[in-house]
Amino acid sequence: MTAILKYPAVRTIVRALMQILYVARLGLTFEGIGNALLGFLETMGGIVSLLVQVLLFIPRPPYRFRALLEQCVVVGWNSIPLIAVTLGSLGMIVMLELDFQMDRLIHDIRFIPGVAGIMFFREFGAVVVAAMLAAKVGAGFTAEIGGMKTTDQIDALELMGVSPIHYLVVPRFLACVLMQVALSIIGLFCAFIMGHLASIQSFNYKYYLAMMNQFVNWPDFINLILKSLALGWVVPVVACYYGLKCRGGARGVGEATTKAVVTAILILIIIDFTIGVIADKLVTAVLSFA
Amino acid sequence: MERFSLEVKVGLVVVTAIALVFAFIFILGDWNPFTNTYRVNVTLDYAGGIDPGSNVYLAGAKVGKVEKIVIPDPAEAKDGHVLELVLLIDINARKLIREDSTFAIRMESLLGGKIVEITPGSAEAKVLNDGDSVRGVDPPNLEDLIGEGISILEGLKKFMDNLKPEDRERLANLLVALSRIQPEDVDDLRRAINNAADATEDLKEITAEIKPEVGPMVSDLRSALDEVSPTLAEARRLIRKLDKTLTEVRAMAPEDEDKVRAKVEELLAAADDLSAVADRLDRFTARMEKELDDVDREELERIIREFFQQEGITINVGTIVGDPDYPNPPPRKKGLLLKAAGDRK
Repeated sequence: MTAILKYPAVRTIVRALMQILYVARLGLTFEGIGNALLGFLETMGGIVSLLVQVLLFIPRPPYRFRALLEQCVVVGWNSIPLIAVTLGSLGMIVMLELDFQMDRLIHDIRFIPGVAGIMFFREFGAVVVAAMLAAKVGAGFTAEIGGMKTTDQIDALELMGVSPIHYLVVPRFLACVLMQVALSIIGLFCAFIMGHLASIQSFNYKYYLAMMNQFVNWPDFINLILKSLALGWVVPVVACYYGLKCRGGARGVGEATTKAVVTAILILIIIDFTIGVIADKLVTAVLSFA
Repeated sequence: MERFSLEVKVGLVVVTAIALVFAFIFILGDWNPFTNTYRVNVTLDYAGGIDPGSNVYLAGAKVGKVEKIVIPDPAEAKDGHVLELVLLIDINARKLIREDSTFAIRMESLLGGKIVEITPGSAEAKVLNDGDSVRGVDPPNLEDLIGEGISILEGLKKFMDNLKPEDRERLANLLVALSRIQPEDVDDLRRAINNAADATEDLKEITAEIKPEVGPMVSDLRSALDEVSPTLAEARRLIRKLDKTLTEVRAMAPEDEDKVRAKVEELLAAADDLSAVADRLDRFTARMEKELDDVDREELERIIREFFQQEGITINVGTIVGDPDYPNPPPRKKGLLLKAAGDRK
């Protein structure tokens, strides 16, 4: 082995390889790995503990209905145009793309409304709405609470004996969970209508409905509502967690906002996947129990 | 100034969402206050993959859904059936769904999906009421049919593989010789196949006639006949193709050797297909014979005799005791056995 290394060419190659290996290490030292793992665990633990605290605070008075209504308007009413445009476009895209691809591949476009319906009801309705809310509402929450935190308003609240979680997070949490269900249904309706309008040359209204009817049943609808309930907590809790943890002035607020949106969407997708695996079994079990 | 107060905005969102919930339940068809339905129970031994929620068609038009599939207690099932489909049918279709309607499970399309197909009943039969039970036609087991098809294809492939090159040559020569046969012969062949197809139709009629005598076995036979008709259609198509190819070959100049050879190859393939079809027909005949084994022989003889007598044809089937009594033949209708007889004259 050492005899080979005598040749300069071999030595050059080995050195180059070692340099490549050093670069490819990507800073993965033991310290770096440990830090990343601890950071991940800390974040997850913080999010879960905030969720538990919020759930414990919900039944406690005083009830701030005005704050809840204000947040409902921020989350629900103000997001309707965004959700309508997003889901409506998505409905059209799905129908057009399916129409084109199915016609190209199997020369049969009869089942498209049904397939698209399943996608609308089971996936887009809840998940896309939650992701849009993470981008629109979640970023707003983090920035707002982060701004309060960096200007010591949160500490002031605590000094006055008001829990910032009860005062700030609980109304946002309730508003998000309630409005997410409503927005999912409204968004689904937009996708449904726009999907029909996009494919009106291929399918008339009756056929569109009949096909949808054949593929989509009311368990799918229950799935949509349960899913939006299950995903509704993610955006407010993650956004408020990063907001409350924020430090370091305007730059810190910006970083916290980015992290909040990314983490919220990641958690949404992981939960959606988990629900996708168990949802049907759950619904079947509930139905057989009932 | 804000046009709406906070309360109004939130209220609008919530009310819209609740209204859309009801709209969707209505759209999904599980709750509809404007139609009236009734239930019919169909008893089956094999459901062939039908699901609750599958559509029910009457003469090709959608009239309802399969509400649920019940597995009854064996002691309660009087005719020994295994499954019971509860169909939820539009009340407007009720006047056509009678006691002699057939309830069969069919494929919705080539992509799959099962439906219940109801044929309209005759005017004399009684209309089915809410909650009535009828016997359905069991669907053929598709996997078995496909397995059979695969074994046929495998056999064919083995046969073709085992064929020596000189045999292949000989076969090609034979087919060239075949190409010189006159069009009338081809016509004969076609007629024979057509007659075979018509014979099945007539056989179907016979089965319909012996239905009261031999009971449920006949429904099985009938479904078997339904199965074979695509095979016959295939045979007809092949004959047509063969005929076309032969005409083309005959029209060609002798110097177009390559083209002729190509045509011969085509012909060879067509002949192979034909033999496969014949094979399948053979199989079917064997199966039918097996099924007919259970029928009382004398009964069957009597029925066949009566049928032919009604058609005006004298035929000796089995043992005849005493002088046969021939009724006056009814006015002749178009049918294959008569056509064949007419051709021969």
